[in-house]
Order: sequence, then C-alpha cells, then structure tokens
Amino acid sequence: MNNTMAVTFGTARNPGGDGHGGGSGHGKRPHDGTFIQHPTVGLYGITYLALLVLLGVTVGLYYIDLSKFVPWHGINLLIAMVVAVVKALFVIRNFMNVQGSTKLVWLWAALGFIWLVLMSGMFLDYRTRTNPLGWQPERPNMIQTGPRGVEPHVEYQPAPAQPGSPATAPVPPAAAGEASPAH
Amino acid sequence: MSLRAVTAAASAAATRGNGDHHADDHGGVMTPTLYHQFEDVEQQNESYLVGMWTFLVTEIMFFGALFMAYSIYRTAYPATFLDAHKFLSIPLGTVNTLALLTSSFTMVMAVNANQHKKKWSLINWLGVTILLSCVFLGIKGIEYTTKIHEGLYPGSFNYARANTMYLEHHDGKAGHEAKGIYPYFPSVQELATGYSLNRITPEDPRAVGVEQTPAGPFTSYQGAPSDVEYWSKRAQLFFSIYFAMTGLHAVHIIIGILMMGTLILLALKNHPYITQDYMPTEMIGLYWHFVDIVWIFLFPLMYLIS
Repeated sequence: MNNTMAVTFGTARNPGGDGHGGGSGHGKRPHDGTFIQHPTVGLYGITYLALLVLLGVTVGLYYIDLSKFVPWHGINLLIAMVVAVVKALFVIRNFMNVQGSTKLVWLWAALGFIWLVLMSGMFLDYRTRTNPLGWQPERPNMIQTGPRGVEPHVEYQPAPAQPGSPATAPVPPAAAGEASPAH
Repeated sequence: MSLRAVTAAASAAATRGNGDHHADDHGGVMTPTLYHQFEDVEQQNESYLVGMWTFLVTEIMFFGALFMAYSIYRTAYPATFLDAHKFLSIPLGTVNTLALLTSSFTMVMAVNANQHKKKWSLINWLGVTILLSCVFLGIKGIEYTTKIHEGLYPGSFNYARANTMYLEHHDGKAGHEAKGIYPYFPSVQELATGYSLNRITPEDPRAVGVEQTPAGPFTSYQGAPSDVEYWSKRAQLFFSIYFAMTGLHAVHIIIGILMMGTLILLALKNHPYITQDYMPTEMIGLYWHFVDIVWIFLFPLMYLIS
C-alpha cells in the first residue's frame, strides 16, 4: 500500500523497481552522503582511548608552562582550546555518527558551531572598549584603556563661546507689540 | 550480518510494505514503523536525526551564551580568574571528566546493542551510563558543599574570608606550592561552628584582609580597603559564572539520567520504541554526547586556568 510507486519507479535512494533490495545492498550502497552508515565497535573503542589520551594532554598542559618556549603567555590557553576542539570533533564524528550520516545532518551539526563563531565575532566589539566593565580594571595598562592611558573622569563642560559663533551673535531687539511665544 | 546489511534489509522490507512484525527476533531484522510521509526508513531516520540536532543547536545557543559571558570576563579580569580558580579541585574535576567520557562510550555501546537487538546488553550498558553519571553528580555535590563551606556562593560572597580559609587549609601556601590537601572535606566541627582548625588571626602576616567578626555563612564584608572590595567583586563574577554553568550542566545530566531510566523501563517492557526501532535510543545518545562535549569545554576553562 505504501510507496508502491516509489518501489516501482525508484527514488533517489532506491534506484530500480525491484522490491528485494538487491541482495541487501551489501557493499553496494554509495558513499555519497545519502545513506546513514554505522561505525564498528572497534572505532568506538579507539575513539574512547584517543579521548583519554587527549584528557591526559589537557591536564598535563596545566602543569607545563609553554610560554617558556614561545614568547606569548596565552599559548597555554590556545593549545588547551585546540585540544578541547579536537576532543569535541572526535565525539561528534564518531560517537554521534555525523560522519556516517547524511549531508543534511552534517550541515545541521555544523551550523550550530558556525553560529558560535558568529556570536564570538559579534562580541569582538568588547576588545575595542576603553571603559572598564563595571568595576575598576586590574592593571592600568590593560586593553580597556584608550591610547592616551587612563583618562580621568571630568565632568562635561561645554566649550567657551567663540566670537563669531551663533552663541555670541547680538540678539536683535524685540519688535514693539510683538507677542512672544511664551505668552 | 553487518549492521549496514541489517539496515538495508530493513529499508527494503519497509518499502515492500512488509506486514509481518517480527519485532522480537533476536539478531533478526528490525522493521520500524514507516510513517506515511516518508519514502523509506532511511529518510525517516534522517528526519529523526535532523530534529534531534535542531534541539541540540538550541542547546548550543543556551550554553554558548554562558561561554561568551565567561570569555568576556576572563579577558577583562585574567588575574582574578587565575587567582579564583585555585578553589576548584583539579583531581575531582579530572575524575568527573573521566566519568563523563566513559559514560559517553558506554552510551554509544548501548545504542550499538539496540541496533543489534540485544536487549539485556542494552540495559546493562544504559545502567553503567547512569551509574557513571551518578558518580559525576556525587562529586559535584562534594564540590558544591566545599564551596558553600568556604562561603563562595552568590548571596554570601566574601573573597577575603575564603582566601584566608584557603591559606589555613593549605598551611599558608597557595597555588602550585599547595599540594596534597585538596580535595578536602570539612570536618563536622568545622561545618557546625564555621571556625576552621588552623585559624589565622589578624596579627598573622599571612592574614589577607581578615575581618574582625567571626567567619560564618552570612557574614558580610565590613571595613575593607577599597581595592580588596573590588577584588572580591571581581572574584564573585568568576564564581557566579562557575555556578551558572556547572549548575545548568548538572541539570542537563539529571534530565539525561531520567531519559536513560525511561529507556531502561521501555526495554524491560519490550516496548516497540526499543524493539522496533533503534532511533529513540540513538537520539538520547546524541543528547548525552552533547552534554559530554559541554563538560569537555567546561573543564579546561574553569579548572585549568594557568
């Protein structure tokens, strides 16, 4: 009753009308992202061991200060984040079977993390701010200060009136009998 | 029969409109119900996965916002974050990460067991996953109890007092020099009276902004130099973010435990959701792996600041 037309005329996934599936499709299914394939238990085990190794790397990185080799104090954080991303990729690819899924599922998974990149890009604006984030900054030479250093907070004073500007223009005398707007 | 062959045979059987429901064949073909809007089982499974990933994308947005807040404040106050993270126990955090990674592995083995129609294997793997997540929650409970004992929670935050307690517990050492004492569990006497055993008095040169009133859970900060007050406020940011993120993560773990318990109950009752189709288990597995990924990022960002 269902799908007799699909079986007869064939769809993208079931080319050909034969209902027997052609010998269970053993090894004949195309690897073009239109079918869901499942990994073996061995792949699960290898992925798990790789995750454990990477966890050891992450914790070991905490005790080894890499800024002795590279003149940048943020190198530890960068490598820790790279290792965390690699771990996440292992979990997503093998445990969540994104690699064996169709391309649509892969796109959905990628979009979530692309959104994270977009959000981070939107918040880069904070790196340009010179005001402290609510409380006093930790050090005077932090990026929060502008190019002229920490500027003292001065109450706003309008500029003194210059000769020739409209502020110092002579006020024309009020015409006799002219009603002023206030009345 | 390899799993690929099993799925292909199921797809072929379903498109044939196979009327016989051999749902309880052990090692046989799983014939999920093909709903009429789908062409074949492959498309149906794909739609299940896309739906679950849609939910996971919303969860990425949920946690992503908190991670963003963390990044902004960490770049703003790096020294404060470096100082405040010493209250988090790295051995406990590593054990937690190990537990979650292993639970991810056992979850995927449970999905595998369901795909091969092995009912008791499925139940056993799910049980081990629940056990490991309970271990995670138990260790979290220990950590939270320690934080509350130190007074580092929103509402009673007093960073100088917490620093003093840290020095008392670590014999005056801090940072990498303090070894072997964390994780500690406060004794009953300490919990009851609020006094620690090696009390640092204000005359002690190691005293860091010690206030004159006795330490207690609801003592507010009084008479501090203004820089220490700001320092306390910055550290409070770190702990607010810590509690928000790990608390939200713990709620997700509890929900995951409930879901896995439901799967075990359905499997015990030979419900068609388990016997006819492996996709429900696979979708709960996707959720669990996502929770694991969040912790994979949380652990180095919160615990391993150097």
